[in-house]
Amino acid sequence: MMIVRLAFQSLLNRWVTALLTVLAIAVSVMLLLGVEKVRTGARESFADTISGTDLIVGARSGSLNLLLYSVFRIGNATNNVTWKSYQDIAKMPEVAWIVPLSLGDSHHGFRVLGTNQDYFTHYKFRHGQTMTFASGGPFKDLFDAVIGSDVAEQLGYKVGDKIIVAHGVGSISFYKHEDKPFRVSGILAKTGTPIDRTVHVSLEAIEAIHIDWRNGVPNPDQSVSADEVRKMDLTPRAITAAMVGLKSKLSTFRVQRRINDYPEEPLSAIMPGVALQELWGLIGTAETALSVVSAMVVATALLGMVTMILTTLNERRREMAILRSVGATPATVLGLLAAEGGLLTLAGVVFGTVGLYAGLYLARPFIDHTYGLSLPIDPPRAEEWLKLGAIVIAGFLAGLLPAVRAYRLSLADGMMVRI
Amino acid sequence: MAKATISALASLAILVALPVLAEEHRQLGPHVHGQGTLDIAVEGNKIEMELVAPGMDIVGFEHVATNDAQKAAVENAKAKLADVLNVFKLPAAANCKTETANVESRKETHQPGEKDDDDKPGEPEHSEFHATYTITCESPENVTGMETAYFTDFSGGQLLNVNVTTSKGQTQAQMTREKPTLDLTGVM
Amino acid sequence: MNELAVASPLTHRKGIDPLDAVSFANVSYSWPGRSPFTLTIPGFHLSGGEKLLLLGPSGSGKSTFLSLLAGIVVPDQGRIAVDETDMAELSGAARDRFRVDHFGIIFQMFNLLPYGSLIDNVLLPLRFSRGRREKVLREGPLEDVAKRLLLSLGLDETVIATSRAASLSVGQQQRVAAARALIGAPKIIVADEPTSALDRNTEGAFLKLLFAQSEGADASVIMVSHDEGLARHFDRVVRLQDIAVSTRGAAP
Repeated sequence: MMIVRLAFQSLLNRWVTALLTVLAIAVSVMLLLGVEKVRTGARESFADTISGTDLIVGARSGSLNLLLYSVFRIGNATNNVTWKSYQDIAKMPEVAWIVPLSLGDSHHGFRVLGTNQDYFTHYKFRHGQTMTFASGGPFKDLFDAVIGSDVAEQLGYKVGDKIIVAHGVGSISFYKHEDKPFRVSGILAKTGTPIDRTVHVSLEAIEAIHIDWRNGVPNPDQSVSADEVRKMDLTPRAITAAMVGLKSKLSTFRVQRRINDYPEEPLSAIMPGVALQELWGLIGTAETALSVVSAMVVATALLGMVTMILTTLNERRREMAILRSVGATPATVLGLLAAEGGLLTLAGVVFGTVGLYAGLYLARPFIDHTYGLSLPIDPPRAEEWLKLGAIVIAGFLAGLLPAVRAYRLSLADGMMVRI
Repeated sequence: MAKATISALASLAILVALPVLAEEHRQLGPHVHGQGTLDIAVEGNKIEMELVAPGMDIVGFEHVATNDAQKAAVENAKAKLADVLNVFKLPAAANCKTETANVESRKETHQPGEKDDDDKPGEPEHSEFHATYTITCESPENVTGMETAYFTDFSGGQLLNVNVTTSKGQTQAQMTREKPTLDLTGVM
Repeated sequence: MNELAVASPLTHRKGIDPLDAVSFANVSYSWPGRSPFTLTIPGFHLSGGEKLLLLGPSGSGKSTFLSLLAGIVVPDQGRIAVDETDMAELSGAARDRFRVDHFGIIFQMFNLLPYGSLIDNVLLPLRFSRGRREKVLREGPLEDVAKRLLLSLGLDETVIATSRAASLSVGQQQRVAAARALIGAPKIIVADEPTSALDRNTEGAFLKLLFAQSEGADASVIMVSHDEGLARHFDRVVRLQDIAVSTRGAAP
């Protein structure tokens, strides 16, 4: 106890450098824990991109590919799913609901998704939240569109605006469905998912804008006007993918297998949660890199502390000699310096942790709103406590480094220090 | 998040979209010695599990058992696998009991319900053990994890790919010889 | 006996204990390292209550002598007895405790922990020596005794109450150092040129105050210096070169 008190007084005597050291450690600890929080938050937000959907069905492909194009609107399907197969799946007794997804067109780089009204009730994210409308409502008319919040924000759209869908998914498209403009009927609230960057229209509308197209270009001989198309049969021949909800989770693997083995058409059914996990496993490398970097920052801060203690060591040689002369054992001298390292680190860890939570508390609404990333404000988990403990121990051990030097000096100096 | 994720994913898409990483199920999946699959579905107080493991992992051979020792090994393995709550231990607090346990050993191309009629003794074939279980638990909320004796019971097993679906969500994890446990806190 | 006692120019004071507080017999010590330095002391003794001045130019082995005396280093050969204890037989930690129990040490300068109060500095040895702490407690609360001691060494009350060690003059610092050496009445006060940074007047006053206290506590005082002018204050003067042989270079 006395050692700690002496170490503390000695530190107070050098409070400016001590404070800076503590600050450096605190910042590094904040970073380490912060990265951990962002990591967990990102992971959870990611895993919560889609929930409540038991299976996603598409043409036979790898699960990641299917997940990427159906949920993240990245890449393209290699094949479509015929309407017949879609109906067969819908008719399976285990299936509670099924929502079609039709992709392929875009609007200023944002993907256009053809679907039906059920999409808005069955697509769930973040622990089962459903989409809400910031303004307007779901599509009622054939040429109504519901846009995500990023689309509205970046293109400055409001309900009632007319938009023209481009054929294909490039941001510059040579062919536009100019003859059949859409009206924005609703704008969705921010979700933090790819929905924010999607233009939603009805499945029939997708069919309608392509009805007079052949081989990816408008067919001038068969031009059909927007009014004429309303009277036509707009049942799609094919869709890109479908989201499936089951009556019971117990049938998940069974239905998945049956779809995978569907004899009429090569299909793939994936469990979105499992596929997300796989995907996270791939991008998780970046996450590891982030952790490594923050660990390095902690190491740097500790190194700074060692440097600080070492530079003050010379002027403290007489302090050591005094202590030795009044009966302090070399072990006490050693302990004094190690305790100093330990104290500095402990203070840094405490301030860093408190600072992080305070910062988190203040910045959370902003981060949630801007990035759709919900950062958890939960107490450090066992793993994090371990990390913090490891840092304190590392600080203590780092303090031993100058301590051993001080010990050697104090032995060599004997009783005579003339500095 | 959405933007960051999407741009991160976009580059990935190129990587993963081209080579089709088939994660298909059993019949089409690669038969990898040392790796088995365990599917777990939970609804209410009911847990259904399905284990598919290469014969190599379970008994150390994949041809049809020819001699008495091999037949005994297969029977012994089936008996062990049938005792599901000893192979896959659930927390005692959940109070679970086995309703049904069905274990069979069969060739890979075999479909559920089909008859094994083309097994020729001694012929080198990939064969699998296939087990389905139904378990009920009084307090399913206490099923926060699982510990498996699979790797100690069966010396050939190295890895189990686990797929889980519950009303809270889906997840995927791996149990290995080094880490024979499964954390289910996120989905229970 | 092969003792080379130097006749004291002063008469012996009456109260000197005939028993040796310290005795060296056939002691030899070499500093390890690239430039070895060996000090050999065939014999030396310090009586209880005696005030001894050890004269020697710098580099003559004074610091080695003091390190041996205070048990910071242990002789390679021979025996050093302090209060009839051979410190070489004690473990390192026990030797450190023995040192604080028996010695009060005053350095040439920079005696104080700059961050402590004066009282803190004076009480420092009591934290390591239970014996000295108990002796002080018999006289009253620790802080009170420390304060009385500082007052008797001529420090001002306001200085005691308000100053930090770092803000004192050198003379004041040495008095605080003396108080620290004296508190709890150790048997031997070792001083390493404590007055070298003081002028003649302050020096005399300092020694008078120091001796007044050491006599009151029946402590021996051994002071190392190169200044022969101090001799008049002491019972006995010993020249280091008369009792010790120092050799530089590799040991024979």
